[in-house]
Amino acid sequence: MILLLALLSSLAHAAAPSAADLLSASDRARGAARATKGLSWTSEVTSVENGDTSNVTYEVKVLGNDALAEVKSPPRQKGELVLFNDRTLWFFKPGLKKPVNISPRQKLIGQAANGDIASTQYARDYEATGPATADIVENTKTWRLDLKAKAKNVTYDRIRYWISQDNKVAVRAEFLTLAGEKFKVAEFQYGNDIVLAGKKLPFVSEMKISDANNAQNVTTLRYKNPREEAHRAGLFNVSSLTK
Amino acid sequence: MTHSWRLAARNLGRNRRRNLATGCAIAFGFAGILLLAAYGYRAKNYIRVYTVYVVHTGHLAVFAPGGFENFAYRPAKYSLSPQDQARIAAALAAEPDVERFEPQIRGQGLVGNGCVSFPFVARGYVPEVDRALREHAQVKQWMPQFRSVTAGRGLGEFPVDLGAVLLSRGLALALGKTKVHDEFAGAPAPAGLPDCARPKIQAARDANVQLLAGAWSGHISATDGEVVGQFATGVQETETSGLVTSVDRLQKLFETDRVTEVAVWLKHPEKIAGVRARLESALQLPVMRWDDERLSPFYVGTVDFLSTIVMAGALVLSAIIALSVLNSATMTILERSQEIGMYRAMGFRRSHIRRLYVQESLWLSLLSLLAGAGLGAVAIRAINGAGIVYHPPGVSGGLKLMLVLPFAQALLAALLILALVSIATYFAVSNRVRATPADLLGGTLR
Repeated sequence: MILLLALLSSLAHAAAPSAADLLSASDRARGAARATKGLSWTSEVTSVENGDTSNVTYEVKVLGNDALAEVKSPPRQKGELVLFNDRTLWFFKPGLKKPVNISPRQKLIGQAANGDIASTQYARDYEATGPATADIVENTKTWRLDLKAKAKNVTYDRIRYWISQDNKVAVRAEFLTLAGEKFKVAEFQYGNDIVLAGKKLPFVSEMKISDANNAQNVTTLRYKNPREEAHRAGLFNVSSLTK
Repeated sequence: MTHSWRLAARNLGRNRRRNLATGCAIAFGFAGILLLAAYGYRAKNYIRVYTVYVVHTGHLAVFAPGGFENFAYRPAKYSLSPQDQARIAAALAAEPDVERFEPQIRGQGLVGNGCVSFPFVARGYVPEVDRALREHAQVKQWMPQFRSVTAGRGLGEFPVDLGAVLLSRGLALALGKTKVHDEFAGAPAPAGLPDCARPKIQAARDANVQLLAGAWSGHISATDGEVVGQFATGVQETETSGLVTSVDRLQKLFETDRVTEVAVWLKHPEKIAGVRARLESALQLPVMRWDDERLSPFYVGTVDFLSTIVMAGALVLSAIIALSVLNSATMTILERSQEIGMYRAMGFRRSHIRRLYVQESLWLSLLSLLAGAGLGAVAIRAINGAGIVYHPPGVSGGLKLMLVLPFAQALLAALLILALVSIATYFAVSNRVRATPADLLGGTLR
C-alpha cells in the first residue's frame, strides 16, 4: 500500500510541467512573446482608491526584454513615458531635462506598480521554490507555483501564482512581502487573442489588482487591441526619450 | 545677631585644615554642578533653536483636522486648502504676538541625476521666510557656528522659476551633485544625456536634478530642480535623504495648491499658551505646540535624556557635599563638646548654640560657593575656548562643546546647597546640645 501511494505521488509530480515551462507559457499570454518582431496593445487603467477614481490610458510597445508605455490620456499626463530596459525602468515627461530612473516596485497608479504596466517576465525574474502543485481556482484546474525573486530590482519579492492546467495562462496571483504576508491579489481574464507566427493564442484582457487589506481599493488594467507590430530597437533607447 | 555671625566667622579659623577640606568639597561640588547645568542649559537651547527655527517647526503649527496623523496616507484629504490658508493668514495677521508664519508642504519621492535616483524626504518652505529664519537673533545667539547651508546659497537668493533645491550633504554625495548652481554660472549646458557608465562623473556636469513623486491625485509626477546648495540636517537619519525646496516647487511636483501645515513663530514664545488658545478658537483647526512630543520627538527625547543625566549628576554631587559637611560638623562638635557645655553653663539656650554652629557652616559654605563659582566660571571659559567637538547620538558632524551658565539655576543650586549644609549641621549639633552642661564639661561624652 505504501509503495503504491509513493508510486502515485511520484507519478503526480512527474505529471506537473516544470515551473520554467509554466512561467514561459503564462508570460507569453501577458505580453512577453520574445520570439516576435514586437507587440503592441492599449492598456486602460482604472483605479479606485479610497473612493477616488482615476483613469489613465497607455499605449504599450514591447520588443524582447524592452517595453515602452506612453500615456495617451488624460490630457494633462499625455506624453508621459515609462521605459523598461530589461529590469531598469525610466520615467520621462515632456519638459523634463532628463529621464528619471525608477523602481518597478514604485506605485504607478492605484494598486498597480510600475512593473505591472508592461509585459510580464516572470520566467526571467522569478524562480519556483518547489514543484508545481495541483489546485483549483474558481472551478479551474491550475498549477500553483510559489515564486521568489531572483534579483532585488524586480516588482515583487514573492508571488503565489496559479496557472491554468488547460491553456497555461495565469489566472490568479497573490503578491507577498518578504515575510510572506499577502498585500495584493491579482486576477486575470483572457478575452483577447493574438496571432503569433500564424498561431492564435490567448492574450490577457483584464488584470484586476486588489489591496489585500482593503478590498475596496481596486485597480483594473484592461488590455485592448493586442497585435504583433514591428518596432525599431532605437525606440527603447533611454536617450530617445528626450528627443 | 550680628555678634553671633561675627563669632561664627571667627570660629572658622579654629580648625583650618578640616574647614579647608570641607570648603574644597563644597567648592568643587558646586563647580561641578555649575558645569553640568551650563552644559544642559546650552544643549537644551541649541536643540530648541534648531527645532523651532532651523528646521522650520515654528512655535505653533496649524494642521487640517486629522492632518498631523493622516496626512502621510491621504495628503489630498488631510491638508489645508487655499481657503483654509487664507483664513489662517487673516487670523494670524490679527494676532499681535505673531512674528511670522509660513505655509509648508511635506512629501517624499525620488531625486535623480539622469542615471541613478535615490529616495528623498522633502520639506517645502517659503524662501523669504527661510532667509529670515537663518538670520534670526535666536539662531545667532545659540548656534553661532552652525551653518545650515554648508555649500552654495539658500533658496531665497534665487529666482522662483529656477526651481532651487537644497540637498542634504549625503544625498548630494550619492547623486554626484557636489557642485552647486553658482559653480556653473556662465558655463554652457552640457549636451545630451549623461553617460551612465560613469554616473558620478557625469552627474557633476551640471546642477540639474529631477524630482519624481506620486502626485496627490494618484499618478506619477516629475519636475526639474536646480541644486543651489547643500545643507546639514544635523541628524544622521535624514543626512542621506533630506531635500528642501520652495513650497511652489513641491506644489508643482505634487500637482496641488494645498499645503501640509502653517508654521507660526511668536515674538514672545512665553505667551504660546494664550496664542494657541486664541487661534484654535478662531480657526477651529488643530494647533500644535512645538514641544509636543508628536511634532518634535527629537527635541523632547533628547531634552528628557539630557535632563535626566544632568539631574542625576547634580544629585550625586549634592549628596557628596551634604555628607562631607555632615561628617565635618559631627567631628567638630565632638571635639568641641566642652565648649558647648561652657556655652550652656553661661546661659546660652540650645537654639542659640545650634544657630551659632549653623552660622559657622553657612560662612564656610558661602566662601566655598564663591570659590566654586569662580572655579566653575574659569572651567567654562577654558572649555569654551578649547574648541572641543563631541559626537552626541544622532548628530552628524558632531557639536562644538559650548557651555552657557544659567544664572537663575546657578543661584537656585547655591541656595539648595546652603539649605543642605544648614540642615546637615543642625542635625549634627542637635543631639549634642541635648546633653547636660555637667556631662559636656566633664568631657566624658563621645
